[in-house]
Amino acid sequence: MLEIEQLSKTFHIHSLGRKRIQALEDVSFQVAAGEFWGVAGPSGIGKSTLLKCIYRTYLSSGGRIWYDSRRWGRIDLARAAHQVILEVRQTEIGYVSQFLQVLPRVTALDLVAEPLLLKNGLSTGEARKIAAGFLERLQIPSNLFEAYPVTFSGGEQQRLNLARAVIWKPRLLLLDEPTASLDPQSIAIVVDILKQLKEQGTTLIGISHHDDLMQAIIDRVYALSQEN
Amino acid sequence: MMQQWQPVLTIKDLTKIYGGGCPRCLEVTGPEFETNICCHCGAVVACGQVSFELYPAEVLGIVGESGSGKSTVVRLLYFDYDSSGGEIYFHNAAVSANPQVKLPQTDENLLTLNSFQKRQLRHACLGMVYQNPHLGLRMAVSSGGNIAERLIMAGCRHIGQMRGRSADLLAKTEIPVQRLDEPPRNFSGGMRQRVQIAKALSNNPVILFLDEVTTGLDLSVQARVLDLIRQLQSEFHLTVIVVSHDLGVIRLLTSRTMVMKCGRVVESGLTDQILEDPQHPYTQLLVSSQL
Repeated sequence: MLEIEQLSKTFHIHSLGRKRIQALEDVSFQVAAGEFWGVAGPSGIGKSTLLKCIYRTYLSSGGRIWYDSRRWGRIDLARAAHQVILEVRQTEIGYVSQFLQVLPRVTALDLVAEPLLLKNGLSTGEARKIAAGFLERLQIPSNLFEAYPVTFSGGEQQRLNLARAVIWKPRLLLLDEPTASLDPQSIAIVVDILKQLKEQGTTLIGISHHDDLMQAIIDRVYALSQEN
Repeated sequence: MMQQWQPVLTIKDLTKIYGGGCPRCLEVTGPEFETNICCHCGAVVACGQVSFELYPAEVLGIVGESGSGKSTVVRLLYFDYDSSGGEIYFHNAAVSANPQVKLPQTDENLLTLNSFQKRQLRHACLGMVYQNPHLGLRMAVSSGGNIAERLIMAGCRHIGQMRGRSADLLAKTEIPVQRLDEPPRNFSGGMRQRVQIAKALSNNPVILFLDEVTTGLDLSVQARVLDLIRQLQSEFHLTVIVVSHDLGVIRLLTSRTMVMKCGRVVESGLTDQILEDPQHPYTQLLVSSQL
């Protein structure tokens, strides 16, 4: 479903005299549909960079990222047209970032319901109902449903972020440390949700750490090291 | 579904030069020369050879320092200024709700239309919210009157309908309907901006231009205006161009972004890519200077 061939990424920082930072070099692996891949490695090795290259938040410097899209067939995510990427992001690929970045005056419930309205075409009432059920499952207190997420704790924001990405059941989900600031109990819930998502056929690629509860549902690990 | 890929607007080499201009103006200005003033004739190249496509229901951002030509581009597209060169094609012939308005053919360069045709197109399909509400509103005329003005231009002649529509739009933009008959000069800056949005939406535009719509507003009003724009955009599937130098606004509202400097587009791409992996030196500087 996803085939990464000799992916490399170099940053050029112009203000430092075009300083080169080689973040990734010669990364190749293949992800089959329905698999859960963990990306492992020490801090600063390029785990997030790899995920961001797949999501096209970063422009790859070399190599190819072949993705079998339902609508477009086999496309190279590193080079596909902007409109294709936007459409694929809208309908197939989800991304959970480390931080929640949303409009300030939208309530938690509306934020989680939004992807259902936009992507699955549900009515507002239905979407809000499903969203409420989901937030409950993530153990977000119901008195926060109509509050603004800026006021939430770090862990609550992160769960909300996950809810926004998971609720529309993307075909491929990229997880950039979704459990970083969660307590063990919340991690267990998140892992449970991801497990269910995987059973429903979603392919996942996540950044994982060795001590992580996520290890239980990860099929294969790609270890990034100094060589790449 | 494929028609989604047909751009609604195609812009090629759009140029605006203030002053006489000479054949070498475009060669000696731009980001690589760090100026938009021609060293041969002293003309100012406000925007030069700007080309892009605008797709239906997308939100495109334009960022850049002040004086980089962002507003010039949208005001050229809204026919506020006469351009010095370039082509604009409008591809959505099926949008005319008003049979009296004859829309241009898809292969017709909009810049060659006469002023009457331009005005018709503007009132039938375009909406604009200016940075300065004085440009977009008549301050001494009631808010309802301001909105009705556009409805009359778009062909509406029924005063009851006009009042009803104005009241609806004001309610949508969170302005108390009781203040329908009050002139915008009595309103605060944020309210004036929202009356402008109501006015711009009154003719169900296909394309909406927002020129620094939140600049100068306090943060709570800014958040409300952003929320409103986002809601209206998803409700009416509007195609929007957002001009702003606030990267936060661009991040939250747009899916694609163009970066301008010295009248030229130096970089364009997906908004998150522009903000997280900027390629051009100026974009890197802009992003790293963000608070």
